[in-house]
Amino acid sequence: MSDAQQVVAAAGAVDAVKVYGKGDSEVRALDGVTVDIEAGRFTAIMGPSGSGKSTLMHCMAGLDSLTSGSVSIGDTRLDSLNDRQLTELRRTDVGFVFQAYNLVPTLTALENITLPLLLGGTKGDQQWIDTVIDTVGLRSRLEHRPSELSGGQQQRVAVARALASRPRIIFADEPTGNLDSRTGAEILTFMRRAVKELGQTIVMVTHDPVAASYADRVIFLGDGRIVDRMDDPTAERVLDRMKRFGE
Amino acid sequence: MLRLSLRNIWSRKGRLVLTAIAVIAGAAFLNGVFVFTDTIKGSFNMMFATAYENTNAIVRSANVIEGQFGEEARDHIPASIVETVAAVEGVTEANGDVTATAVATFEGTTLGQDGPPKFAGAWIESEGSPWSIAEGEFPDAPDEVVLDRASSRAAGVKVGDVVTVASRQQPRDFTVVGIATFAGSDTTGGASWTLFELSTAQEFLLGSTDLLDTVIVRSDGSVTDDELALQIDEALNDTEIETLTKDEIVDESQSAVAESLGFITIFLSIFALIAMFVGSFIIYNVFSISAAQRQRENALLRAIGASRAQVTRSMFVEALVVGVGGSAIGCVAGVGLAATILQVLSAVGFGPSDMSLMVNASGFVITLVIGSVVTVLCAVAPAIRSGRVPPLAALRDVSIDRADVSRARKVIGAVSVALAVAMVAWGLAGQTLALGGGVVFLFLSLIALGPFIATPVARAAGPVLGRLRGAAGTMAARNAARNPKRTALTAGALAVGLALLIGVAVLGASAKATTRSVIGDAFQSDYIVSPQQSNGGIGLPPTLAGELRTAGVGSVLGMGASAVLMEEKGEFTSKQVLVVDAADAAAVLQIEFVDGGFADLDGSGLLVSLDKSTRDGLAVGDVIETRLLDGGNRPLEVRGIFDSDVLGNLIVDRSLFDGSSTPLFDLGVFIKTDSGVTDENTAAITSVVDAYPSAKVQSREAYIDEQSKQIDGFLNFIYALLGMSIFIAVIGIVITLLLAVYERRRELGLLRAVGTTRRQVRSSVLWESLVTAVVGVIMGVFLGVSLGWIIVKALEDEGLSEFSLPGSTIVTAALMSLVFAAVASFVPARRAAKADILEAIATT
Repeated sequence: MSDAQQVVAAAGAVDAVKVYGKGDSEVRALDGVTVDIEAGRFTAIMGPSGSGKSTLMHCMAGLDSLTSGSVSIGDTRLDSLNDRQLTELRRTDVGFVFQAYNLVPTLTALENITLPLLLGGTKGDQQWIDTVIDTVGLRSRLEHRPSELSGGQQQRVAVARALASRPRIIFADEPTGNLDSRTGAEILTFMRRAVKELGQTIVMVTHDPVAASYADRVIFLGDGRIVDRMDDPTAERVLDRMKRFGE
Repeated sequence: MLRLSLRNIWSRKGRLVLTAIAVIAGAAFLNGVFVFTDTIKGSFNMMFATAYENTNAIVRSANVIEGQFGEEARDHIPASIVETVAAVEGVTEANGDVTATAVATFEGTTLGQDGPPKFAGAWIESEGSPWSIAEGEFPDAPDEVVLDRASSRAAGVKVGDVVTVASRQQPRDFTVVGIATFAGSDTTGGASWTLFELSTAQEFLLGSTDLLDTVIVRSDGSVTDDELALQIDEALNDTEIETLTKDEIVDESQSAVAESLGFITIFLSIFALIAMFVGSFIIYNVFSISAAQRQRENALLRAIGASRAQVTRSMFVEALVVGVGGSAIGCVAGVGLAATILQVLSAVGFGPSDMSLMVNASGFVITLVIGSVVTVLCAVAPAIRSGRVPPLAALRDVSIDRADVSRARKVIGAVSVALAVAMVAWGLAGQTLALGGGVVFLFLSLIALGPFIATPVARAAGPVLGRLRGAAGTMAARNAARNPKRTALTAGALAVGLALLIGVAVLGASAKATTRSVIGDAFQSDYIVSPQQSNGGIGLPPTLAGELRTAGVGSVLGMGASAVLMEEKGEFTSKQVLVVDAADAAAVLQIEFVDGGFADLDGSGLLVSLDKSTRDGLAVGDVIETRLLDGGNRPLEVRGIFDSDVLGNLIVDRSLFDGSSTPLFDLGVFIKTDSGVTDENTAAITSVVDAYPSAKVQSREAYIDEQSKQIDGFLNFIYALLGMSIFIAVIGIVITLLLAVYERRRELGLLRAVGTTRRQVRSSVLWESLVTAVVGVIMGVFLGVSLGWIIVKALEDEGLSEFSLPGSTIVTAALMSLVFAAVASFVPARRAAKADILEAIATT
């Protein structure tokens, strides 16, 4: 654990608390989470439903705000940013892969991939974009609309989009949740390659131990708190750990 | 199932309110028209009832000639009959009266509004008179006059002021000795009044103290009005004089008003129905989109056992609620609309001042029925489509509102275009009725072919907007192209309003160009003297032309219009004739003669247009039996055949009316000088016209400009009426965009998540709205110019010889449409920018 402190943090949370509702119906989705996401590594966040893993990701990505505590990406504390600055941060420093509905239906695959760049009014690094496209193997489908792509292809486009702007960090929310296991494995392998070969930082929320086994480290969440961490996970070890949540 | 539909309606109230706006606006317009005209009719009816309240009978001449627009000229009666009438048993009072027209001016300003009539008559000091003095006293000397309160107040005339009054003789100065009210009201429907002592009125207005227009009779009540009238008729024993009872005269006056208002009701209703038609695009669009957005829910209903009919019926229930509810609200709003307009009108001096709103059930019923039927009709196709949703669609993501364009549409579009062209061609060849069909098919082809215009426009907009606005621009164009049918319908609503506006503008521009070329070609005059108020229908005293001629300023042509009876197929019918001074006409009017000419025209002849002579087989030398107002026959010989569309069909010489009681006025005096426009000539003319304060002198250019401006005034009125249609079209853009934003909320959330700023989202919606408007503008301009061209060509025979495109009006209208579209995008854009990211990316 001690060596983790020496690695640069790509993002982090300090005493993150998120409360939904009031009074009797109050739910503490996050109950004081402090975590650092190490740069250049593939981190998985796991936990049973209702453990707060999605909330943590949303807050760290600047999609949702905390009740108390703070989150930061790089050196930037998100609570100090207004909506416009947050939007720009998401565009330049953050990449997203969602479980479904990742792509804008009116845009072609290529336009979807370069969307964050287009929105910022920049061309981006053409060589890098070519690398990304070739890595995900979409060269032949670039002019297709999302409706003309398979589920796996759509997720690959989404991953390519997340990579295209070389963000500081990519958040993936159950990226393989809607895919069959073979296609899911393809996506996960690809994400892992992005970390290993391209030095990308990725945080993935999942409830699938197999998916988590592709990560460098797994953070376990339960009832809004971090309950455990695991480095170099395997599917069996993760599954074992998950079984203990029921106890 | 009914419960479910009602609950559905409730859960979508926001959308329903928006849909209803299209219905409400149209219904408000329609019922507003009914309330407006009913109220005016009601107050006129009340006015007439009050005016004749203390009258039992009216005696007048039976000789009457009705003009083109229902106005009538009636002969005078000898003043001596008053004594005969007074001697009839039961008569307590018999007062001679004069009903004429006269223009009063005060310090150079004409009294009364430009439009309503300017009446003149005798002051009758009697219990029976509806007039009562509000200030000052009644007139009892030859140089005294009493004015109505409304027009004297508007002109700032007070008791003791001197006004100049012009009628058929040289204008004369009168001292205002009193201000009067009519049955307690300041005005009689906006008309202005000058009232004189009886003998002055006879001499000044009729030209002789031996003449009267009517005798107003009061009885002691010992006989019924019918018996009274019968006895008066017997006592007079003259077939050229008739006696009307109080009820008859009130009925006649009221039905005359009803008739002219009936025309106005129809005219205004047409614009209300156009608004409804435009609204129907919107209503259809909303129901289609609703059906599409609800298909999963409908499929689920089908899956759990609802029948096709039940699903369809639930859509109809929704349409019925929107239609009936919207129309009902519209009816009420219409009352408010009418009240507001009436208030504005009476504030500026039109209409009776004391108006109580007349709200008739018939207006409500008609509006409710039309509004509901239109709404339900718009729901037919979407409802049937909803019913056809397969139950399986609940599980799959199939769209019933297919974005692609069917082949049937292409076929219908092509057939419509072909029929439109064919019918217009047929119509212009003489079958006027076919023109209407042609226009209908023109609009039908717009509806059918709209998507084929929307798609390429949106596609072409893509790269342009992409360069201009980056990703937001690209997405705006793509979104507009997403469902071309929707875009085309939304744009179509705008196009219909715009097309009518442009069509009218083309007609107006062509009329202006025609006026210009006609006045330019036909009238060689250097100066034109015309009434200060050009719409009142009351012209200048014919003495003016005579004085100008005497002054020796050149050739002077006084031109008037009158109605005479002419024999046609054995019957005498009313004909409009142009009255000229034949001696000076040739110098001023340059028109082509096929045969004969002005030189041959005198009091026993007439000139006939080439059109009429061809139609009726007339040649020079033929005689047409003609009857004037006094009942005397004057056979008129055809002395010439002219080839011009601008002077009507018949021209007679002024001397025809010598010794007749026909009231003749000059609508204009046209002067051709030897030396053109010079200070000297201007001074000479002005010195004569100065004595006629109701007249003004203009150069030819100024006169032509003024004629054009009159057309502008009418055009502006029509534009205002079309405004409601444009408003509904703009509401349509708002609704369609709002529904689209609702439909795309996930996509918008995603866009926000990956870094689209709110500003970019707003920009995207704004540009989508603009692309839609551009589609509408293209369709509207094309359709409007076609429509204008068809109308102008159809009216070519009526003298509309020039086709002119009002470039600046079209550009302005197009730009205004874009501005409106930009404004319309405001609320949807804000809604889109507020898209909830977390809700959008939620996996459930």
